[in-house]
Amino acid sequence: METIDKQHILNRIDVGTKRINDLYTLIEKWLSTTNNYRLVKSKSVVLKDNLLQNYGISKIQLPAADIYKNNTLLASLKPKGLWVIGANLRIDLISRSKLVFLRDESKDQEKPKWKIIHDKNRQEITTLSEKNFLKVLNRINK
Amino acid sequence: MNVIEELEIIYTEIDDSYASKEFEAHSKGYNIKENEFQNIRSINDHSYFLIAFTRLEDRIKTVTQNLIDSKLQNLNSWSYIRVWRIIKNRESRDRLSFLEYVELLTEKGQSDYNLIRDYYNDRNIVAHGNSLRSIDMATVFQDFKRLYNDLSF
Repeated sequence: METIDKQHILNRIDVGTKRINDLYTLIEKWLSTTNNYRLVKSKSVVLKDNLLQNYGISKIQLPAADIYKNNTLLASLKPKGLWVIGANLRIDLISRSKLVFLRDESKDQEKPKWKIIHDKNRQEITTLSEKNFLKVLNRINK
Repeated sequence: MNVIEELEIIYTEIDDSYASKEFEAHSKGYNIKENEFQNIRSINDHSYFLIAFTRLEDRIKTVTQNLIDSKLQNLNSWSYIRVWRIIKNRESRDRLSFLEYVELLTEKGQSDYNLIRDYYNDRNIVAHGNSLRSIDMATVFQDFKRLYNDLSF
């Protein structure tokens, strides 16, 4: 089991934040090839708890982002946390009618392996790619 | 449909519903409401993880009890029966730890044993209120459903 100390938390924040930002950069690039979708960084997801304060860390801020279609907010990307049971990282793609997960299935030191967990009973899993991500956005938009 | 599958359906309905409310609050700039819904989803994750784990735990204990009874009924040689009598005696007096039940069904150190052991450790962390732990319930339900159906003797 992982030992949690201040250095462990700080390292995890650095690695996790970089992975999330790298993913947003990739999605931003994919969306830039479309005429109507765009990604805009939004207010961070803030994690606070007593355990963090014991290590002198008041809060963790994880980058979040919004996806617009023709200037209308379509969906938001919100990280679930940095210590996720069942995944390395997870980002929720939330919208009015659908909830889709982006899940990093890599181990700590490996390169990210992002998958899409679709809303249909959460059983359909596909690799995160430009084509698959745009398909998801088109389904959300229906 | 087994109990883990039933729990998954109820959990998913609740999570979907609150995710939709979280998005509505976010789209209107209602930050406090958005945080509330995010927090409710996290509490829901923790609650269903603990409930689902207890159901898996029950299943593991039941299958192990069936294994012990089967061994006592079907083995003929005293040299084997004596070991199972001791196990039965310990089990009936609640002297077997959870991981010993698991070890009677799966090979220690192999993938299923390690998976259950890791979830057991996570369960202990979550049960003591470590809120740093987020849970990907899609993975948890996928693993628990497979284990619930596959564990046998």
